[in-house]
Amino acid sequence: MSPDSLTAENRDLRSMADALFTAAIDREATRSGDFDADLWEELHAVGLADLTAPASVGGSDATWRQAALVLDSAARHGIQVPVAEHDLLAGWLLRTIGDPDGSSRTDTFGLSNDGASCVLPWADVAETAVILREQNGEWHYARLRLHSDDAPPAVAFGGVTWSRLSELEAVNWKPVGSPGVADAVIRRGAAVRSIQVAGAMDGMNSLTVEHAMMRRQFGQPLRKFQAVQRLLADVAAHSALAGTAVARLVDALEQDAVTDADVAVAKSCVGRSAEVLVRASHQVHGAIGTTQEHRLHRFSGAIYAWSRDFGGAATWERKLAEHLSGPEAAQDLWRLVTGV
Amino acid sequence: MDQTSRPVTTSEINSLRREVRGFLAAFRREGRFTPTVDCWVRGWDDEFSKELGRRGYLAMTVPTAYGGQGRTHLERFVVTEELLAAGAPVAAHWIADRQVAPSLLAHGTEEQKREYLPRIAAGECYFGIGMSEPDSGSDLASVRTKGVKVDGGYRITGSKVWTSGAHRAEAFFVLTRTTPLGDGGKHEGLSQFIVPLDSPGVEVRPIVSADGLHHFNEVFLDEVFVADSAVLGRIGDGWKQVTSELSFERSGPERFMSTYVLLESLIAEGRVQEHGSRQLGRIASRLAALHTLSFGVAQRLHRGGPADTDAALVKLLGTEFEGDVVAWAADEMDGQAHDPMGFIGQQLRIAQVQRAGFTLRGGTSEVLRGVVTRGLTV
Repeated sequence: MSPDSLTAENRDLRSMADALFTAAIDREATRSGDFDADLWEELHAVGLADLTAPASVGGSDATWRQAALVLDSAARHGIQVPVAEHDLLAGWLLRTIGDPDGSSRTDTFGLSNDGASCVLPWADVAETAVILREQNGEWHYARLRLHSDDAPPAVAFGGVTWSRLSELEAVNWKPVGSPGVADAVIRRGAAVRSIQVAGAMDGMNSLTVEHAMMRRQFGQPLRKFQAVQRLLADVAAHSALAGTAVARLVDALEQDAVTDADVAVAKSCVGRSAEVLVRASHQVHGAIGTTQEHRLHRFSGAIYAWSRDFGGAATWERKLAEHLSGPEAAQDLWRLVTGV
Repeated sequence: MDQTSRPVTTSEINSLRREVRGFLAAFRREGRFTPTVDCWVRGWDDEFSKELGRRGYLAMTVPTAYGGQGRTHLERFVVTEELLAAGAPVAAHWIADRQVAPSLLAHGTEEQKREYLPRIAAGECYFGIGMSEPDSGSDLASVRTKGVKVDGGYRITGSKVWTSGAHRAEAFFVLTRTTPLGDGGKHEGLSQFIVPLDSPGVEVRPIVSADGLHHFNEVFLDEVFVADSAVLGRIGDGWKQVTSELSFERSGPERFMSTYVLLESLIAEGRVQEHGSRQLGRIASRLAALHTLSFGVAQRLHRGGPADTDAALVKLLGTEFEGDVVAWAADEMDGQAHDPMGFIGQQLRIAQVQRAGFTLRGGTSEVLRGVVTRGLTV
């Protein structure tokens, strides 16, 4: 998102987010890949945790564009916080359904594919989880209280712990009501992941440019070599393309007119461009970028972890192709491109 | 406020789009044109260009005082994009409308504007551009065509290549060296002239393209006299003038739409095979994002901001995409009984041949990567 297109209010919001996430970069928690509980408290304190919740329940009433700014800022700084899961997914679902319990301090969110288990991020640190599942065409959700003494099987991926919750058959499943709600939350999930991946791609682009300018080999900075310039141009191009696809999506979200096709455009462009960008960025960094110590893997790891969540590029491309197979396919395609 | 930078609403843009789309659909139904890939190079049709002029779709950003429409770059973008989507024959006026009219507006004298702009707007005056030379391809500043000051004007000697439409156009812009290469940088001492193609001493020789058609020419200039009034802009400012318009040339929808006709006919005729459907999703997504990127540059230019790097990115990514569409189409048609002389077979064949030029014309991908890399800062 280019700064010149932001309102003054949104520029301030972004400055605030940038300052918080910049300060978090060198903290021990970030460096060791742990959850930064202090940062999460700070985000609560300044109103960035319950970002889009209405003021009446203590939220900040933020728009999609504002939420995207915050997610983008965290991602481009290589910082992992559960803003998306807590506020935009679990919180939104509970508010939309009108769940009487309301949000906890830290909610996470997951989709259950088989109805009995669920792989989701942040279950190691969240108080509660909202799980969504479909059975026989009906969507249900469950609110689970997570206990820190339970230790479900888990794996660290992209700076977040992903846990597998199981034996979910017996929990208290409640109907979500209208089926549109479940579709909407999946679109929202795919959207936040696209925003986050594009942000991380921008962060990776910056690191790569910086490295190519500072690192000297054969007596000159890497950026002087044409072969390296080719990589740098590809990184910049694919970062810009992903950013554009996401900006297009955020416009649709902001107008409350988002379709599966809009999400597919972002998921596909972001996913495909990420693959090119991650490879080229690592190539420019050389062996230095392959260590635990270097920040680069925080970005590439996050990109891969987020890219596949709520359906990867291939899933959404198939969905879009289906949308473009009707009797008016050509018109549908051009309408998707031009909006008219 | 300048007419061309006034704010435009989305609904104005959308209704213009519908209007152009309706006109093109009707013309297509009536067989007034046959769509083709790469229509902005291959589709030359004087009558169609005049029709566009009558409908107010040419010289859209030229002020009404010069016969133009006094509309914005965004409106021009929309009209252009719809014309390309239809594969309409727009080659005749393309250079005049895209490059010559804006350059005349920016650098031309009052006399030059009055001479050419109203007729460009009417679709009656076509132009070529003489930049590259046999020994100056990507390295444009190395041009050797000379402009020598003589009494009352200049004598121009040299040769230009890849001049599209010079055999049918009225005049062309010629980039010359008017001060010999010396202590100044090679970007200094260059100047632009407007040279009528029927001037004594001008010889146009065809360069037949691989598709068998004659789009390009080599133009020889032997002591061609032009009056002082034919100088475009200022003597010595040629480089600045040429490069200042590059963002418009590189960022337009013709940089990702050249093979749209092929994509459209494949899906309209249901030729996408089951296993290829994921690829269709990828291609449709990329197209939508490129449109947004390109339109974003148009918006930036509309507000008067710089957009060199983004314009280069549009062309770099867009022309690669045009080639991807061709390769994908070949995959889809693979194994399907198809008639190589039928519409899709023909379009695929043409696109495969034309594709080589997509990543060359208007700045090679390698030059563009250089532009992008130079624009990088920490």
